[in-house]
Amino acid sequence: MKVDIENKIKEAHEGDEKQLEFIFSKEKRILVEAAAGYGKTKSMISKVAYLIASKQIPNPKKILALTFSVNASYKIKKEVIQQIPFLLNSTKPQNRNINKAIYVSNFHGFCRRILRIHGHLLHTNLKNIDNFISFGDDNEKKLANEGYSDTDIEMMTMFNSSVKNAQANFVCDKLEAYNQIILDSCIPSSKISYNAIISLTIQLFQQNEELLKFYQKYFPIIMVDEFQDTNELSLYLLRLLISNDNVTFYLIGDSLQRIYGFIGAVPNLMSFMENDYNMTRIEYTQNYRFKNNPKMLLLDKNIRLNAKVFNNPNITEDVTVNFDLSDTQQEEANYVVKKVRQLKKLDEKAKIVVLFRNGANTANTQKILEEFQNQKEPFFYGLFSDDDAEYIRFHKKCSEVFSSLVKGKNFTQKLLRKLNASMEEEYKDSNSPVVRSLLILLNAFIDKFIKDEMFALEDEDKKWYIMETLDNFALKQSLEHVDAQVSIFTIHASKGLEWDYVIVPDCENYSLPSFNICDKKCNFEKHTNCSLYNVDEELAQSFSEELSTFYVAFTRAKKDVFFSASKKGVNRKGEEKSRNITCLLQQKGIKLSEID
Amino acid sequence: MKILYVKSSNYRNLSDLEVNLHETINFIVGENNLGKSNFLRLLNVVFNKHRFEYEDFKEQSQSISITLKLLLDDCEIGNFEDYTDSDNNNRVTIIAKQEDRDTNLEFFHEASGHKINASDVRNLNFVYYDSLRNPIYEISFDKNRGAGTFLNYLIKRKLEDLKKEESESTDTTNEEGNTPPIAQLINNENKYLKDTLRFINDYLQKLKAFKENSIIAKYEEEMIDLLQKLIVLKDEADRGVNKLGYGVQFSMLIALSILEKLVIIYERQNRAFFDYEENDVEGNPISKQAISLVLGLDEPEIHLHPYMQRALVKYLNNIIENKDANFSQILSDVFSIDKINGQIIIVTHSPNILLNDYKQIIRFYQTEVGLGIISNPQLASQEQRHIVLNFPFIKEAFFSRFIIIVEGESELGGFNLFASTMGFNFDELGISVIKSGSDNTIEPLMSVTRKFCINSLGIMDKDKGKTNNNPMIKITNETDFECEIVKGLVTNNEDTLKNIQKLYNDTDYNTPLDINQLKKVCKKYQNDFPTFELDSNLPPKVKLSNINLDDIELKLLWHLTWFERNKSTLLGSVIGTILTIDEIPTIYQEVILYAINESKKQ
Repeated sequence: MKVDIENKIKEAHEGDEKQLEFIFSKEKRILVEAAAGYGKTKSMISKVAYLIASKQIPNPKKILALTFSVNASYKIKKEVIQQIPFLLNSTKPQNRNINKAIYVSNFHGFCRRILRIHGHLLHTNLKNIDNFISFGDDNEKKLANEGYSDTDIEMMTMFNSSVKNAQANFVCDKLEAYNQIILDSCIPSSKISYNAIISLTIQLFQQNEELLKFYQKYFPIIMVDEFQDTNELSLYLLRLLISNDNVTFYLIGDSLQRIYGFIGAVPNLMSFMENDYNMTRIEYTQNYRFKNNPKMLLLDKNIRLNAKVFNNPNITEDVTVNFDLSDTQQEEANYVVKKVRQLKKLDEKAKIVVLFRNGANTANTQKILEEFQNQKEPFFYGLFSDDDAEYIRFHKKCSEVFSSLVKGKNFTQKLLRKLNASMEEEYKDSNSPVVRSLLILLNAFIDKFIKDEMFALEDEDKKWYIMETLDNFALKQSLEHVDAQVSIFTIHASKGLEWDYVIVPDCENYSLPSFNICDKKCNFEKHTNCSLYNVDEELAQSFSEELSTFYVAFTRAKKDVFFSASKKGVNRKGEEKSRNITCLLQQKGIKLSEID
Repeated sequence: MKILYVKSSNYRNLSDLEVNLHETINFIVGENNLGKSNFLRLLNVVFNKHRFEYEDFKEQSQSISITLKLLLDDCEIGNFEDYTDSDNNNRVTIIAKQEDRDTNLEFFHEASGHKINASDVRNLNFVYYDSLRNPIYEISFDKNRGAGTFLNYLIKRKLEDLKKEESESTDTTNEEGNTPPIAQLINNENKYLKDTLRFINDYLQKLKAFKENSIIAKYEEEMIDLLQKLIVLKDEADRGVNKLGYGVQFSMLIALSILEKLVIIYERQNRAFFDYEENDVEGNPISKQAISLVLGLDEPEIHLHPYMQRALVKYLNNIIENKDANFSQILSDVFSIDKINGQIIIVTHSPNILLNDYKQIIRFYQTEVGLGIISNPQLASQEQRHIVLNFPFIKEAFFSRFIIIVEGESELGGFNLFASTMGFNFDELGISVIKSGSDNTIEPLMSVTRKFCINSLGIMDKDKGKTNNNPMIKITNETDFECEIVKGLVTNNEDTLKNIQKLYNDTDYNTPLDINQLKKVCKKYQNDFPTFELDSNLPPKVKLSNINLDDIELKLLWHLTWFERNKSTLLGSVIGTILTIDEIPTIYQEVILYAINESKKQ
């Protein structure tokens, strides 16, 4: 039986030794370094499926799998559920059994779960955390408007910035004082800051040692995905959970994909943990995404070399990338639309994405969006994030409608269609592009469910499946089933997704790298050119994060990537200002082709 | 899992009472009709049924709610998902609640109020056994219910194995394919019947009651239609189980009841099997499986003689603590279970069945306002010492309403009979007499039994000259029990004394007593003989007939010496038998009347 399972996995992983080493390893502490397209997600899913299928999770214990976004966690769970019957040679869906062996969430979801049950030890109202309003405590003005006292605001913003700036000592020292403010001023009025969801959980464990011991026994295996993006607070919590020697943990990530430094991803975290916990390190070596794409493979390689030795990468061969330089932002907008149309003509089934460093509310992005609209070029609007208020509200509303529809009724196709119609009706007056996109996603989700999944499931499991998707804010997962040929996303939101072709506009200073770095840190005006190679260490740190963002952007492409820039960009005030080609495209080993 | 604590509200007469349980074995003791069995019924509903019935509700308009504290072994952690007590990672407090008689029981995590799955709660596996079950209906291979489930399962399993062998072996071709026809079964006796019988008997002989009573599975040829009917249980003398005594049947039934539950769990393949790891000799971890099991036994002593009662409890205790190698082997061979995490709760009326640990006693008692329950009371270290030392002698007290604590064996033998002479029946009134062994022990024993809410009265000999401030301890008027009896009789009713001696010795009362013994006794009772000197002319052996009729003091000394020599429970009983109501010393009559009054108050 076990040998059968192992053989199936070996086959599925094409004998990739590094991946198989991780999947079958008995080591208790493993650090996996896996670049984009190196089979990270797939091997994680196989690891979990293997542990479950080969009965290595002692009943009634669970694997705790923590991902960065809710969406990623849902994706992993769904794929584990799909893979296990295959490994076990069974046609029976095993959703509920698997549900008992694994808990997948992000740090915030995990902490909410704990606070919902045990938070009453800190404050009775924490029982109702599901109905709380969450907020970020970075905006002084907003906090002042909410009526918090000056000293409270100071503490909250200071704590927040210490998390963002990865100041471990401050976070540790001020945790209780910060929590006290939250407990006194926010929890009673059903509000909680994003940071407090984690910091209160930490305090709960510190004050209730037995509770921590319980969770250490309940989750004997912990797996953290996108580990490079973990901030000090989450790290603090994780270190509590793994403070028992019996706990097995796998940390998986790619230092180069650390794109959340701006919200506190701890620098050099992977190597720090490797040393501090004496972890076994496994580095993946095979690029599967670009296996048959020498050009992308070379680009990937050269960027990684740059990331490794910043000033003096060991480049053996330059890569020429597609690049277009326009005079103005308007011309660049024309180029992007034209490129999209060209690609569509070239490859009728191609899926294309336009990725922006900045969100919808910058003038440069707007200009390009307008051009799409002017030329009536259809696209799927994806410039929202998982924690966008509107995105979350839509899921909650949908879950509510679903619950009332399904109550006491048999589960039918008709009922799902009704859900769709009710949501259309509910939002019929909304002009929000986020809502329009969500309606499309909901439709795609339901279509796919009716077509492929519904018949294999018991009634109870059907309900569970739908509720799970909605409660995990996971409609975005249905993107692959949306009929849209062209999508527009932010780079950050595109993480974990794939398209055939990627277009990255605004490869200019003040856009990519972002305004903050070019203006405040790089002080570019002193330079005549956007060049990287004589910057100080602090700037190098900021730059490496921009490099990660850039890396994430082009690695979304299965076939090819197109970069563009314009000599003049539009600033916040709407004025045209002259711009340089981004330093990121001027790294060693990259050549730009002016095509067209 | 183990049940640490139960508190119920609005359940029958157990409302609002708390019970703390011992982790391994518990004896629920107390008089009849207090609701001891209700406690087991309550647990049976909580862990095995969907709802309480109409008659379980004390107030029909209110809900029944039960607070349970369960202890989880490390391997069981997670059975209730995230639900745990925050101050002990191995404990969880659960509320079982039923709104009214038309709804089902629901379970909640006490601290958060969140719902807990009923199926998770049932993983505790409560086996309820009451001695009203009729073994004949169950101990049979053709009964797929009750204890017969396990016997039936053994046959089923063996047949499956045989079928498998059949299909795997190439030289035997069975045209029909699956089931071998009965004829073939019989003809090919060796292969099927003998194999099956051997298989079954291998297991049955691992069960103590079967082995000790030499019960094995055999077959009967006239019943050939079904293999299940064919195989019956018989003893060496070829008597069917149904012809054997109830005691033997019951001792088999209990072990089979446990196995019945395991068959059900095993066939359901639910998540009641908990995984854990153990290191082998070389230190490599091996995966093992444990199961939770709580036995609730209602008066298992019925039908069993005292030796079997004790043996049964020790046997069950060994099973639950995984110390019975044979039973453990059945578990591992048949069910792949390596360990039980379990507990026993026994309702009993038999002091014989109690093991020697007061912490295992849960006492139900009557109070002025209703039922009271006391378990594992806080004892001072001195009290603990006393209860541990005297436990074997005071077991009976746990079943009583009132106890009289006496010093010696003679009183112990005499008191019951005094009472019956006075026209009372201590047994009916729930009064028992306990021997303390020494005057120093009376007071500690009274305080220990008081902790178990048993009222008592002590009677202490005057001899040590102790001052006594405790109104519940009476002091004899004379030096001690013997002196009390002898002095009361020697002057006017000496014949009674002689009758006692005659009945006791079954010979002549005119026993010669050693002069030195008389001297010793004289010294012992010096307060009774302040000026008395032994006549130096007395022979070395003194007979009663040697003594002058008017030498009262010497006569007294002689009798006291005789009593001193023959002190025993038996002598006490003889005294109790012979004394008329007028001859019973008043102090004892007072004590008896007091005890009777107290017991009637309840």
